[in-house]
Amino acid sequence: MNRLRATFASVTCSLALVGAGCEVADDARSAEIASVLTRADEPLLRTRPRLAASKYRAMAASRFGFFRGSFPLFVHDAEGDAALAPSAFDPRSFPFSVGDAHPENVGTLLAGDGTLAIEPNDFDAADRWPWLWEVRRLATGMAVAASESNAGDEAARAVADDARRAIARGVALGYAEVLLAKAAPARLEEGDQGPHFSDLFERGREDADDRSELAELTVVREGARFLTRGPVDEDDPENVYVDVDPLVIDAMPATLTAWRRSLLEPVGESFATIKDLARELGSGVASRPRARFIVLVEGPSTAIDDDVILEVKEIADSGASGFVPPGVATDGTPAARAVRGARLAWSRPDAEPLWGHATLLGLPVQIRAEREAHKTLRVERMVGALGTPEALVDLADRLGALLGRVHRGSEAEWPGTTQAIATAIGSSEAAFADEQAELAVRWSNRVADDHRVFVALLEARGPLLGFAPDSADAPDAEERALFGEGDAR
Amino acid sequence: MKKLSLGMGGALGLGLLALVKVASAQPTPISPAQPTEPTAPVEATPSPSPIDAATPATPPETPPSPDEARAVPSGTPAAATAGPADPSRADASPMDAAAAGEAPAAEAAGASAPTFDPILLVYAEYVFSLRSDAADEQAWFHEIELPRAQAGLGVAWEAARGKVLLEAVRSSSEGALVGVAGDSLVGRFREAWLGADGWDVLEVRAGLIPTLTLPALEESFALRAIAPTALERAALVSPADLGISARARLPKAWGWVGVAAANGDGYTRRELNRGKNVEVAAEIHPLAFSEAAAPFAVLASYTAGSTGVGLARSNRLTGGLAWQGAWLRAGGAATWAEGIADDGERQGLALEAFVKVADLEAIPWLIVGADLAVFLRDVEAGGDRITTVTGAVGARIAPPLRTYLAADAAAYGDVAAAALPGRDDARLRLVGELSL
Repeated sequence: MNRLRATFASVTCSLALVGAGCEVADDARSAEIASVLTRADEPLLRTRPRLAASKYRAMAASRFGFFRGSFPLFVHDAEGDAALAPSAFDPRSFPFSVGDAHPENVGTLLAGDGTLAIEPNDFDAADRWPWLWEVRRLATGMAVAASESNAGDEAARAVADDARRAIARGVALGYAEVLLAKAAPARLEEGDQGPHFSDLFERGREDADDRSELAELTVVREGARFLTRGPVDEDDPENVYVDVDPLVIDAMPATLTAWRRSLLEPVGESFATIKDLARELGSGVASRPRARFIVLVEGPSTAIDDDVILEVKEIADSGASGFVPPGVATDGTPAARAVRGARLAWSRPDAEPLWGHATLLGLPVQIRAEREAHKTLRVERMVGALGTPEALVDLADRLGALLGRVHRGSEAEWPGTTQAIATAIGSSEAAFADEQAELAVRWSNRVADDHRVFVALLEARGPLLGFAPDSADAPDAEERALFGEGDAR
Repeated sequence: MKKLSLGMGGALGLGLLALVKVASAQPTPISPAQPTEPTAPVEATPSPSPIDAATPATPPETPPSPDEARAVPSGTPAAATAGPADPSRADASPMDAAAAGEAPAAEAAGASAPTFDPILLVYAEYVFSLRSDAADEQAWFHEIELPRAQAGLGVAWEAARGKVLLEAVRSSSEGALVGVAGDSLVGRFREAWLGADGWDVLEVRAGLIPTLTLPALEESFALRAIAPTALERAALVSPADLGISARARLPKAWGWVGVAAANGDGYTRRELNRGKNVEVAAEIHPLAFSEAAAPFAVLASYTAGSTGVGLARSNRLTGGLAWQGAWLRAGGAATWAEGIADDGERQGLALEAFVKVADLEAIPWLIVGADLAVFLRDVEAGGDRITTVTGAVGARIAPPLRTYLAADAAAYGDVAAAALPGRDDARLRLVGELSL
């Protein structure tokens, strides 16, 4: 084999020397990362390179940030890496699920009746995915999170890092238990839900009661409420609200009118009465370059205390390659797909009653309430009592169970989904957990290595990983108004 | 050397072609020049070799059918530049005419004129597919597909050559929900090149050109309607790319050699890196001295290249043996791939064996074909293997129209099965092929 490779290489070099020959990277994994990520981001790199660069900066800033932003690389490795793909458990069941299952895509949502529950809260990649890939994505995500937990306490971080296998195993066990149970678990409501979920509930309830988002994201001038401008997250200076192009201001009312029609329960016309509008930059990681607007609307009454803040976010394709005929799971826009995924995944379809979809100047957008009551799990909060191996194992088990419940949610539309997964796991729960744990640790090691390579790539090849935008692809005035490219920092 | 072949081609027998002939008192089509298409399912002459095709001894007494008009493998220089077997036909190149010692009619009349060749190729099929889930529950699906629809125009004027070829494609990208006007079938360029032929030997092409290896393999099998080659199934090469190619026809019926330089990211993507792919290829008929053995061909090619922004290595070494007979086509090919799917260190191997029987004297309408393709996605990983078997029986309903009943079965190694969960186990297809 080596001789053949050597012959290959010499022939290649000869050709390269002779003429226009090829040029290849010395480090194969480095080339693979650059090629896969830029291919997935090519539309963004061409039309809004400064925003794409902000995504890559966020990915470079932390290992978990890289994990969040590199879902296409995860899928690429799942499909093509023989060291990561093998499994004793048949992956051929395809629930409509979140796709990019990781701990920072879970948090509290405020339902229409005022109750809080733990639910998935990001459906950008929602689609019909192989069940096993999602378990592995979540288990790997928890292993990566453990490695980055306990910021500022290296000893505690080392302990958590050593516990990665047990933590990842918790994901698999929690998942298997739910899939093998006769009934789906109940909604995760306030109560004894372990340290992490309880922390989310505690903070979420406090902010729900006093509508903290109005205090933090708006100002009142002369009796009228407006959105603030400038930084909105003290931990992330890139996260800012800025003014919006008039083109978007003109288009937004029609968008909100369409959004109202997409909701399960109707809301009054006043929810489409716009009081202020801002472009949000620097939010999220994978979706950081996407158009995202914050809209202050009248809400239930003309009083300023019940104003409602909405997030209008561009939704792109899921990245799923059509695993099940006919290849697409919805016949609407990508935003309609995301909303459908949410309603299937949640314990009740109105877990967040304002979660709907529309289009904005032709761009598919998901619209949801922006509330401080909506707290999301954050790796940066995995410190102290929330960063112990016990707390992380408990969280892993609960997240695994939540993913299991999400997968069971597809049963109503695709009968047999649950049974196929249960059959695949069979009576081998322990073996299933061991396999996923072992793989998650290896994959998290890969993520750590890849993150180092990625940072080096940015340093060596520039903020776009060597991608060269073409001025011919520069967006026109309307597109610039949507993207806010000129304001990207 | 200003010679333009304007002889009457067999394809002239088709009224449809006659409708589109323009700009010439004796307008006749040049070769369809569809190097990636299996346009030679039926042989008109005992030897389909490029040289024989370009310089036959005696023109047929009656105009050949459209099938026969494509008796020359279109991936060969003769087909790409000169075309069908009969030099008396319009689509023979100037060099062919010169080789035949003829004075083209246009030159005799003191004027030259372009010749145009319209191209139309459609595959339509009904597909019934079966798959099972993790609980071994069977599910089925069926749909009507348009695997290929191509239309184009080739032009020849003295030594100048040009071609545009459009193909239908779904407007959404992989995984996308919405494309143009929903997810319409829209047209895109598959080929768009200009070029020149010279000295009865050389052809040069530049623009969006067909690559060299894949068309040659397809032509050996000549049954693309029922199965892509193992190389194409494994997505190891692109059938076309933006680049420049040169091919030289060897003397007599010995075959051709070619070289091409291309961007390397295929015809569906823009150039993403500074590297260029270099491809060298040859189809040799080592027994060309014998009329009976001339259909035996040896194919070989090597591509050195890279893909993506990261310059991931992407080299391919291909070898094959084929019998390109009048009623029998059979052979096998192997491609060693270094660098697969942006992973420059992954090595794979695509193997293929095929056989096709058609145009039997006793049953001239019958077409039978089979193909076995094995793709080792990673030779260093046991079980990362996909095996596909396709069998088909078909009938020629009318000269340009064929239909097939085809069955496909696939088996996956354990690694490939885990990595590619969304897969059909078996498919049954009713395929229609229209080729002008």
